[in-house]
Amino acid sequence: METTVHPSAARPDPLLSVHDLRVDFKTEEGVIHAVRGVSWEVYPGEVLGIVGESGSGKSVSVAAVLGLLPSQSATVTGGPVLFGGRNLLTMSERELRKVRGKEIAMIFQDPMTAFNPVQTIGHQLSEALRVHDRSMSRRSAKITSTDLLALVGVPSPAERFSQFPHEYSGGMRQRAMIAMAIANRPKILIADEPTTALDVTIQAQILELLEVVRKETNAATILITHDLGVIAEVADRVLVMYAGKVVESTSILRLFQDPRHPYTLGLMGSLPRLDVRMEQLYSIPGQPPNLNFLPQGCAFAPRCSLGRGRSLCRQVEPALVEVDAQQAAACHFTTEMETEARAVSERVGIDVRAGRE
Amino acid sequence: MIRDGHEDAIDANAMIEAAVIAGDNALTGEDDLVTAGERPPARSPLRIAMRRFMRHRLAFASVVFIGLLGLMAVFAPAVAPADPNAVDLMALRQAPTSEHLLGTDSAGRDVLSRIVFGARVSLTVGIAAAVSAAGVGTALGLLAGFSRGWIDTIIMRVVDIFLSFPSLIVILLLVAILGPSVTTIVVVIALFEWPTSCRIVRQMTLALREHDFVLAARASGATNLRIMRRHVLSGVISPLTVVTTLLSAQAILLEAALSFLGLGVRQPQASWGGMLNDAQSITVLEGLPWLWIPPGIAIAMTVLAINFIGDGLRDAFDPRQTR
Amino acid sequence: MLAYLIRRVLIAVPVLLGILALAFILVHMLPGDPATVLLSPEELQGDPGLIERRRAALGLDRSLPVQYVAWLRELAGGNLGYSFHRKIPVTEMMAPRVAPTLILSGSGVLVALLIGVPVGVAAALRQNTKFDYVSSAGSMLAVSIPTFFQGLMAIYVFSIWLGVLPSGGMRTLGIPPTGFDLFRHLILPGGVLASVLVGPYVRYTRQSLLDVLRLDHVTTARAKGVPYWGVVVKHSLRNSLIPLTTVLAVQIPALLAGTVIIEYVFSWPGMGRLVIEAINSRDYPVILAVVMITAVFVLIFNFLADVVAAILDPRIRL
Repeated sequence: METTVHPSAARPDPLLSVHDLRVDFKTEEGVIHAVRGVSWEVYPGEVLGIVGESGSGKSVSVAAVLGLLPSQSATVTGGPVLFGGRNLLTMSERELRKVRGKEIAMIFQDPMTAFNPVQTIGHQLSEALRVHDRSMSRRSAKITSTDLLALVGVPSPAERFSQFPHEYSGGMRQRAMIAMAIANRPKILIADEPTTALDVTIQAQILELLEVVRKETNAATILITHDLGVIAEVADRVLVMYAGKVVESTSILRLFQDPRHPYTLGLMGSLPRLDVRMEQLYSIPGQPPNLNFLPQGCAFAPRCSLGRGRSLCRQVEPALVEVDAQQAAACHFTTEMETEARAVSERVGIDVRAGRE
Repeated sequence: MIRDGHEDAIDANAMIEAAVIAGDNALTGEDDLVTAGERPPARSPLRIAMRRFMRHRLAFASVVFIGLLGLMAVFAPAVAPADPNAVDLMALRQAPTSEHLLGTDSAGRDVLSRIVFGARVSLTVGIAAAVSAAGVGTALGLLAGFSRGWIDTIIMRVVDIFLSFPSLIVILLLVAILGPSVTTIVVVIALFEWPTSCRIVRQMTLALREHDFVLAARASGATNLRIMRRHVLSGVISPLTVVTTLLSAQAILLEAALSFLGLGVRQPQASWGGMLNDAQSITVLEGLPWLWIPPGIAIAMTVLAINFIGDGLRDAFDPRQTR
Repeated sequence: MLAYLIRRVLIAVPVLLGILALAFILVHMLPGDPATVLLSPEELQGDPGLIERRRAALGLDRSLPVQYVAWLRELAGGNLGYSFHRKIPVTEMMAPRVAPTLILSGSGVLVALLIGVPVGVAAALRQNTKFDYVSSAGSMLAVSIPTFFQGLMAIYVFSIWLGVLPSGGMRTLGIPPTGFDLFRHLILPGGVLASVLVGPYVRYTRQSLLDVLRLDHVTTARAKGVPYWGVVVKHSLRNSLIPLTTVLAVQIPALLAGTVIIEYVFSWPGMGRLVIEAINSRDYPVILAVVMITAVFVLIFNFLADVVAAILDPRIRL
């Protein structure tokens, strides 16, 4: 697995940079602050993992970037979100449309529902090509689509072209979804929980395929998942999100060796490991916070063992502070992580941090 | 909408996320959403539905309107300015005056008083027919949903048969055979309006019986009848309320149509549709609009109000049908 | 798809037999003895044994199930019975009434669809805007005003007050019938029928489209850069029209109820008016024939709706 991190000085310009993105949802229970000011960048060719529990705002933040949230209930503020020097948030729908699927493409979680059930897979693939290239004929779109299906490993693609989604298996459908996403050779590929809805055996194949198409297209990839195992396999850099904020941003190696946020540590403690014997799995106590009644101070404080109810945690929300060039964490007591990690490790029986046992 | 439940603790938030992405701005009051937080007070589904209903201003106004109409019907003798059946041969077909606010009809009867009393017929028929139709429908729907198999098949075929019939004509035919009266009308309307509620109750029962709590109740040895009463009936009650409301609007319209065609309640009893029956003569239609426009408006407003209530109830119980 | 359609037909057969059985029961509830009803009083007085012989000839002395089967055989042969009133076959009475009813109901449905579907679509696309509220309140109003009242109001305003349109009938007497004349006569009844039907069409279209717009594949389409109208038309509308075809079929009895009353109010010489005339003259076989024909129509249209759904939705082509 490639884990080299560009030293910040030598980094190329980011492809996409998100600044202070905020998303609110109006509901009857009040306003849900789903994303509360997140900033991140994606660099060419890298795999950025965004990890967090459902409701942490990870999917919502990327949907907001592409303007895919329902304008009725969602309010996107903050920004800018810069792509190729232009702010995606202020772009007109007409311009944004040209970015979607062409420059930035998405792969969705559930291949069952992500395809239109009344159109053939081939039709939907061809459409992805033809909406961005009006001059392309039906025939050449069909040829390209069939090639794409072959590329992603759909057997007998010429026949499969004219089949409907319900005639595909779940794994095949996700392959077709990936084919559709890479159809226009996008610069960025966003995969939102691409394996969650699939069987475990198929998950591995799809991850492998993602890696293949990434190499093939050289697209930067944003991989959204709740599964640290998936992150460990493919990501170069990781953002850990909690309650609508980034709580830790780090390289993949550091994530596992030296997590700097107690939530990250908790996630790792709850990850089963096959390489070492574990006495028991750790689980983070409590439940994720209610996004329309967020506590004052650190959102993780009620569940945090490191904070131990210190008043600072309950009063002041910690900012994301750089530990060094490769790592940043949003915790008042990130310096105490060493002791905390040892405490968790004692409970679990091994050091949950990779390479430390 | 709910992702697979491998993370039970965070399922509620998963729903928010799934819902907002899907563009569903109705993640309203699903009770689970608030269980995670300690701060918001616990709310019962009924309270949430109540609150949502109240916010539906038209529906709320309609409840007030129907309430007042009901009071007017009950206390009609006190409210009406005159005896609705008092014939005054000195005052035939009079235009509205201060004495007869809405004028008089061809027999010199006070139109306003007849409208006040006519509310009795409309409301009685509306409520009685809808409640009996819903009652029959619920019983058969529960039976079909719970027994499944051939009983279900037979009941559903019967439902299909009834739904294929042009109910208005059959109702006309039956009323013509049996002779018009409020009771006949109620029975006949109920006879042809029960299938709608039967279908809905059956559907809900089938959906609910797969629910965990019903399975659990079964596993712990509860009998079908107890499960029906305890769990399923409570789940069925909200859609049933909506259907019953809409059925009563339907029944009022049917009664009005019957009376208009001269097959409704017998004269001289006042009914709104019957008052419109007079307007079939071109003289009345052209020259005496106070005879037929007020009862027409009365029917329309009553039915509209009931429909608004039904709509409000539907929104309150089923937030998916966003409005 | 063929298997699916055959299955639908097989389900429809017991329903058809049930409909006919119910109609048969209604026949037997009818007052009046079919054995005597076609005979004149003089014939009855002249021969006391005549009634018995008539009963035997008509098969009325046999058991009900046997009579039912015999009656079915008559129906299959196109015999819908005899009018009590005019002593001629019901089919003969109905024949001239079919076309006017088809013209009226066809144009009513067409106008209602042409207005209802676009309004429903617009309301769904502008959910919770003023347009949405107004259109939904309007469609609610349209279903709440009794049909006959709408008809009377239309006559009062357009025929009596403004005097621009005829108040009833299908053609102006005394002048040769023209298409334009028919059209002028059709405007009011057709308009009222459309108004009665349009409310449900708006509501169903709106709800159905909203349901589809919430689905994941719509987000997929947007994410791959399909333009707004492409998303609406290609990825949402077609999917949402599938349930609408069923609604159209299910609504036929309501359509017929509307037609009956409108034909009555506007003196439109169709089947609906025939029904009212038959009820007033207690001519039951005519009523029953209409009831049966409608029920069979409903079955046929349900089947057609299934066919259309199967064409629109590939998941059904099993």
